[in-house]
Amino acid sequence: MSAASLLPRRIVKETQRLIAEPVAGISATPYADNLRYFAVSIEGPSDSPYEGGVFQLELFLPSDYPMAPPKVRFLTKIYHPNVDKLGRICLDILKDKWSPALQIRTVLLSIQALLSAPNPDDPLDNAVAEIWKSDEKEALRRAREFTESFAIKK
Amino acid sequence: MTDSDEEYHDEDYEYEYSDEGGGTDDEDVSMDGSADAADAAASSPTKCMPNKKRPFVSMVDRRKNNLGDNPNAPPQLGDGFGIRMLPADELKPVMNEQIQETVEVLGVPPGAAAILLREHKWAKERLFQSFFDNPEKIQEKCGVLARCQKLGDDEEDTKAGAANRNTRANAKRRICEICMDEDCFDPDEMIAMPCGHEFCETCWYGYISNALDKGPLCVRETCPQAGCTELITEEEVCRAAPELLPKFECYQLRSFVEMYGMTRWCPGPGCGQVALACGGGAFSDIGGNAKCNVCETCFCLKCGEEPHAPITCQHLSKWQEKCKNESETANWILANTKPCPKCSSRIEKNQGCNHMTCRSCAHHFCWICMGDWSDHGANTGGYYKCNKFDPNSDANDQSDAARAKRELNRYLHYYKRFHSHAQAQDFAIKSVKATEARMILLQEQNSDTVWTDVEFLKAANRQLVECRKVLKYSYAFAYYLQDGDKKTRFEYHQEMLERFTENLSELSEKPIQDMNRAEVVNQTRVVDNFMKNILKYVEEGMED
Repeated sequence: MSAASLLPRRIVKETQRLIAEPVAGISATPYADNLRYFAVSIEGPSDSPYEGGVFQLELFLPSDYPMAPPKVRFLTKIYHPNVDKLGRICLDILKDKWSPALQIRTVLLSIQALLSAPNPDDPLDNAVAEIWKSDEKEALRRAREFTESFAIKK
Repeated sequence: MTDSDEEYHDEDYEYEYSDEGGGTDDEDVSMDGSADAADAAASSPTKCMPNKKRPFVSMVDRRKNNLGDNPNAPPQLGDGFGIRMLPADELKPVMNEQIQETVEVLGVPPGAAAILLREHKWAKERLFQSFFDNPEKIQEKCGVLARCQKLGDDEEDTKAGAANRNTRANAKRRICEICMDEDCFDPDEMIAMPCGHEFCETCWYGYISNALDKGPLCVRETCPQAGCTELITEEEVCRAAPELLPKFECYQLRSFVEMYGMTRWCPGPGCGQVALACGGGAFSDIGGNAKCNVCETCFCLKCGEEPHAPITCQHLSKWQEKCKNESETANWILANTKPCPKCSSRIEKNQGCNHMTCRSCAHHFCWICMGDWSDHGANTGGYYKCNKFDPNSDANDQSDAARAKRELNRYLHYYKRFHSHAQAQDFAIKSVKATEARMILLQEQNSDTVWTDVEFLKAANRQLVECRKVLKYSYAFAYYLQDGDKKTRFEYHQEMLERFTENLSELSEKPIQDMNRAEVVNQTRVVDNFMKNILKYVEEGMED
């Protein structure tokens, strides 16, 4: 209770809206013991090698949120040029292009869009990006394989 | 005239104190004391004045001394360009002058003018040119498009302007997209950017204080709206967070000093002074050295490093880069290895006797004298002893692999000397204190002696610091010189300077009872002239 009362109005509002009007293919639920910490799952977009998979992420709102961006990380293993082995994401709005007028919702939508449109020219994982550029077919095959193995519940 | 004139220009920041009379009384080298005392007395007022009365103007590039006229230069610099050392705060008028001129020429608001200038590294002419080619493109690129357009729309107070534009919604309370407060805000609780994006005062404050926490980059902070490229200025800071304005302005000024071609920070640790060129163009063109009037750090106006004649700024930075990459390795190699006298592979001796067998070429040699092992025996005091030394170890072979090794050895040769003069320079700087103590002792020896009679010791010490510095950089310089006559000649002069410097070092470090004043003073002068001649020789392209 006290945790909720300390929570800035904006976070409370965002959380309420995320639950009341969820975005298609995305869910974000705060943990009861820490309302700044969210369990996120994103469905792999159709016509992408991630189709059919459900990817788990964690999202944390730092104390200076919304002046500073949220911290987001993939928990599910994923084969993607802009995501590294630790699940860290290379996305401009999570770094220098962050704006306090952005929200959790917009961030998660951007991540979903990143799954549809990988950007191997601005890679986080060089090895993956290299294959993506030189042999896209092979890269897509591997991405599907990863999705099969790690993101699809059997 | 020419003689004294040249001496005058050669007057360097380091020497303005030491031997003012040196140039004018060349004929009077006799050291009877009285003349020198008069010299020193005459020079002391000039020495004090810069520190107390006016910002200190330091050395200028000698070659270009006669090209410009600067009314702000203190008298002792004659017709040279001056530079002034100022506390950073005093540069505000300089910056504002540039902004004001841009406001007048381009007809843009001051906040936008400052950003436009900054994005063009404060090169006004360059800005004007590209601005007139395509004003909107430049405005957009620099993030001031809305701010500049707005000036045309309404010149009223921006708050009123924002309200006017929204007359229909005037009564309606607004939502702030940052805090999304349900109660919404009165229009006058909102602060709008020229681009029309508005946020509540509290969120603005948070945004600005957060931006300031990022440090110098805060001057390039954009509108809080996602994707909007309009930059914030002191205008928004002033309205949303007036108490943070000084900090913001301080960053603006810092950015100005760093980018403007006519200013350079004093590189002294924690020193807030700035060198400002008084006429004569940007430092990158006029060059020269300066001495800070507060912390006394000397620096090159072009690159901010310690004065580094004879080597150029470009070569110095190349050299430093090289040393940074290789110095740790180089130090280790120098400290722990010796080259094989036959194939010059670097060899580390970590155990065993002095009879070495090279792993690369199987050459047998002695670790002590580096000579052939076959020479060893009874005549060296036994097989495993050696009293021979000083071999000629430079045997070059032509193989391909040896080239890299030779290049390393070549670098080590220069680096070793560069490094040892750097250490000697540090030592000489540290011994200035000790010198002062010796001066007191020397003065006390004879009750007739006055302080100015013993100042020659300090002058010698300063000369040593200077020589070590020049010698140090002369090795970096020589590293980049191509083999040939010029290099041979240069190295000959370098060797002479080295010898003179060692000589002076020895003379001035003698015990006080053996100190020969005339000798030290003479040697100081000789070394000084010699050093200046070398620098001049290099400056003039080393032609005969």
